Amino acid sequence: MQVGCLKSFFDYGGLNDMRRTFPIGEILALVLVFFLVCNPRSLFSQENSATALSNESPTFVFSGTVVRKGGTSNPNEIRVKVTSVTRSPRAIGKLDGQEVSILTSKPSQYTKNGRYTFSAVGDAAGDTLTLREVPRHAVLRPVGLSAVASERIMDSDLVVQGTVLNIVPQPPAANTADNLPVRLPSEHQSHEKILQLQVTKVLSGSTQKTVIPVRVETSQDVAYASGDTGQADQVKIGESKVFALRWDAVASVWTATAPSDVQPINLVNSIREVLASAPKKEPSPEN
Amino acid sequence: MEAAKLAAVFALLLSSVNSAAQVQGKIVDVIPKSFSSETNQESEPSLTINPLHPLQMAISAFTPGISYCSAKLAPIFFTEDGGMTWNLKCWLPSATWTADATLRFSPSGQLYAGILRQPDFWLLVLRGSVPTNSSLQSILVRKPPDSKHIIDQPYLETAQGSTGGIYVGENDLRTNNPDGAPTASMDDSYDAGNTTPAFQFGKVDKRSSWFDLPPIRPAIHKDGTVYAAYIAIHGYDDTLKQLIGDVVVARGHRDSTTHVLSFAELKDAADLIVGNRVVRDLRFPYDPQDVPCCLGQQRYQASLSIAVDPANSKKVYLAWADLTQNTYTLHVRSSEDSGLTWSPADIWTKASATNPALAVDDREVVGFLYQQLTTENGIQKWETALERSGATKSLILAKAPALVPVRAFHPYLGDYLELHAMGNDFYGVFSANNTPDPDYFPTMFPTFSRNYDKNNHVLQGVDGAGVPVSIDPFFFQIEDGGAKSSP
Repeated sequence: MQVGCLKSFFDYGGLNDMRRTFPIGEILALVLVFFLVCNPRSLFSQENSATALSNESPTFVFSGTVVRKGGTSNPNEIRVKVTSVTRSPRAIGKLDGQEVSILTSKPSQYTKNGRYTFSAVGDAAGDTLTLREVPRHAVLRPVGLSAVASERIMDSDLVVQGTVLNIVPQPPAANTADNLPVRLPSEHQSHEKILQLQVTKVLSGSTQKTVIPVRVETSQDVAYASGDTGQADQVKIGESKVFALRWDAVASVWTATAPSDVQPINLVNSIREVLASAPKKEPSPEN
Repeated sequence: MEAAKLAAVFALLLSSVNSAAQVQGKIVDVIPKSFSSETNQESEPSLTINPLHPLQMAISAFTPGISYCSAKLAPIFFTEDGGMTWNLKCWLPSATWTADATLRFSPSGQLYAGILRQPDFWLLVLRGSVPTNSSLQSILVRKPPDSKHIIDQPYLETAQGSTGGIYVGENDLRTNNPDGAPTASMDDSYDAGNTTPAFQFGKVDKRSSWFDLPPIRPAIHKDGTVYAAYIAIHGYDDTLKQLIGDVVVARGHRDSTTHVLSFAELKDAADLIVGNRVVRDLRFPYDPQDVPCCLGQQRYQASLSIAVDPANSKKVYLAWADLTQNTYTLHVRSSEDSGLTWSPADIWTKASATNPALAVDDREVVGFLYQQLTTENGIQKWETALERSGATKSLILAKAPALVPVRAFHPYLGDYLELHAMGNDFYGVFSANNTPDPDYFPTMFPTFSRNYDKNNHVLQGVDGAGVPVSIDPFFFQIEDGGAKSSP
């Protein structure tokens, strides 16, 4: 598991993008980041802690030139002119040529007019963007996958490539406790369907079956909105997709309840990259 | 930066002396300039004003398409110049957007939020301060048993008087919760500003209702009076597929010694049960398969608002929507005896309308904000309008085609919007089509920070390219209650 993580770490260029000689302290810090990143479950188990937030997939990856060190109110801020963009959110539009502010925990590692590659997440936005630098680590989100999708995939029990054989709508949840003629009306009404899925390839985890029922969520409510890449509400009979599944032990069924749990086949290599840096899976709960 | 400030001041002066409509104030699209390329559907806005520093305000809205913050934070919008310029800040601990959110400042300037967290639908009550570089921290966490039995629509209010405290109206859909049905509930805390505040949870609806509709709305007076409004369902018409229920107002206080909040002060004259049934046996939309749909592209859901007169806690105003002659219709009524008796006729009635919000200013002028589906030359339009007591003309703040843009998700405009009063001014927020065309904003043209071509009335991205129309949150301030526009 950690070999894949280490490979991605160096492939991404966590070291060779730096244009300066590394002090030993920074190398040790990066090694520490590597071990933290390659064991992400331990970090994400905490509620709202600063530690949990430190292991973040970047929403921005770009190269740029430092045009100013130190902000008007924050000495840890550097101003960077973006020269080339590997990744940025669609909502931002064209990032090349823009100047952005970056909040960094180590402003001393950057020199004015130096050119660097940055990994960052959004922090604030006004006339210009203010980003917060995150470690250049191995869980870099591959192209085409949102940060949420990457984390859902990494945390799933079974990831398969498969073809949809049939789709069966499920009745809305009933209020059986009170025997009412109507269900409790929620704003966030779930709309589940059961897919019969022909498994063509197992990418992560294991299943003994070639056809598995999968419960998917297709509600149009904001709670289930697809963000930027999810497709669960768009699956059709005959289509082949990648499914990141979780096991519902109560109903004994595989589930893809978030839109981003269903991804197009053309992202399979990106999904493999995410899985390469994911923790080792326990034996399949279905077995 | 100085130039930007000067431009903002100049824009403020321009908007304040808008001569066309003789209304003083401003409307502002809150999307910042650096997000000029975004096309997200930012619906269901919530607004709060810091009473300590009224130039400081915050707005939440749905942000599924932004993907700007880290995977564990959702953004809000905030201003420190009275609403002329808004910044986005990654602040709410939820996976890039919330499933619901309301924001409120406390009298001491603390920012509180009630949210349904993505992706697990946990109800969180959060606390923090502005500005800060840390996200808001949870002071209450409620975990639902599963995604079908959540605690819906946390609607937070802070007490603005010396009594303090926060109140979160919520619809508890957990069928196995200890108290069972009905579902209208409230979490409240008298010491929410403390490090580890104490919360009390209680059912507001004490009848044998089947359940309550999603909005549970608190209204808090500075003298400590707490009102709660809800819609209690007790029947179903299987032929018409309509729910049957009552609009109910409860009233109470927090005990000064035990700090326990009780709603026992207002009982219905007919059944002597807590909560006065203001109007009974109304009809509400229901769909056996889905949420009931639609006015334009906006789902019906349930519509409810309550406001108390800051000068007199006995004066209360209530707005709701029901099916009147099979048309979804807003009604506003008033009480002058603490909710015991209500005006027999509507103060305002608006057919094919939704998203009511009420507020009362310091001169006891009542404001009523709503969104109404109208038809003009065969084209359906959403009008966002503000009524004020004493004025004979409504202010049409926005008016745009109802089918553009195409809905990305429910709710199209939101299941609520908000109106507040401070001094003699009304402040509010609504979500609407963001076409930068003066015809779409009859009262005054908004200030846009995002790029647009003012000659051709089209949005532009950060690179000057055209950007499709989307739904944006619009902040507004109508000065002096808009009274100067009254005939």
